[in-house]
Amino acid sequence: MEELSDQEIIEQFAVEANRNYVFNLLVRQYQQRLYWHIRRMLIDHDDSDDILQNVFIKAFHALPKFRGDSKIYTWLYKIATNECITFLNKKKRRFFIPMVDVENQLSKNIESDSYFSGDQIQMKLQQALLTLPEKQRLVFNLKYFEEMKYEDMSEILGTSVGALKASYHHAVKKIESFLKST
Amino acid sequence: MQEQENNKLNQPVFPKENPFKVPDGYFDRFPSRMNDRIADEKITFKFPFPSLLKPAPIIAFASIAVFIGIYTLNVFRTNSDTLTDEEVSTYVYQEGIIDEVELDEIIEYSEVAVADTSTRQENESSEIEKYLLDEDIDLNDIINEL
Repeated sequence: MEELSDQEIIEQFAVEANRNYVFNLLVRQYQQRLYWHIRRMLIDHDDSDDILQNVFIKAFHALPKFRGDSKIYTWLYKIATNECITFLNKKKRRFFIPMVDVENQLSKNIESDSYFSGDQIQMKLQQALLTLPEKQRLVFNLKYFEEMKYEDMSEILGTSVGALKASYHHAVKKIESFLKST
Repeated sequence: MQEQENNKLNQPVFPKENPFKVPDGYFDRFPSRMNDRIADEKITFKFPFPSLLKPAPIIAFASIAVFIGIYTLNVFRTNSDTLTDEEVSTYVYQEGIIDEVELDEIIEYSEVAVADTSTRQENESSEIEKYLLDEDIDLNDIINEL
């Protein structure tokens, strides 16, 4: 698969005739990473699919205004993260239930999810993650599963590196404690 | 190097494998689905301010529109109701409803009528006084009867 640099994507996207082709390459280049990032937050495949489409639609419309101050990859992650948070907040408002209940519901959904193939330990880990505050869950996912640098995470989440390290540390402690108690 | 090794030692030992699955061929189909969505987006007109399409702003704008409508109508109606004397006389002349002589008569009559009202009141008082004197009626009798 042909991969373009950020500069090439910006330049070629500006040409109307190339737009669809470049956008198709962008989708192919980032779809999997973004999908798994979203899926870890939303758990459900259909929800994740909807949000991933929204992310690329937003990127398509915003790309002409993208000035290259950040990397396209962190920019896309930022859009995806915001979409996930908005989605979870909407879900909470729709059912008039606190956030912890939404996550409790997601935790139950894992058990009946036909697209979850993990063993008992992996299921316990996902359930432990769902007990974390939203931001800690994001930090843990990005650091542990995606092995993202703190500097990139800082750009995506708008939080200092020090605060992210502390957040990750707290997340690990809480997960360990959850796994020991169950 | 030392820092990397420390980091490795500090790494928690949770399973790292991805436990989630996607439907078969999902990532193969996704780019073409995205192209279709983009094509649809280009065709479908989207109102640029979707938040204004929510019920609350619609009701607010409708109320403002109704208020402005009523206010505007009233302003025009008030203006049409308050014609100046000059406008009335010009209209009357131009339309030939009455000629100049008739209009003068009307004005004269209306002035006389106004003057007449005050003089009539004065006349009535003096007539009563004269009657009382002629008939030799004591004013105290009338007051007592009242």
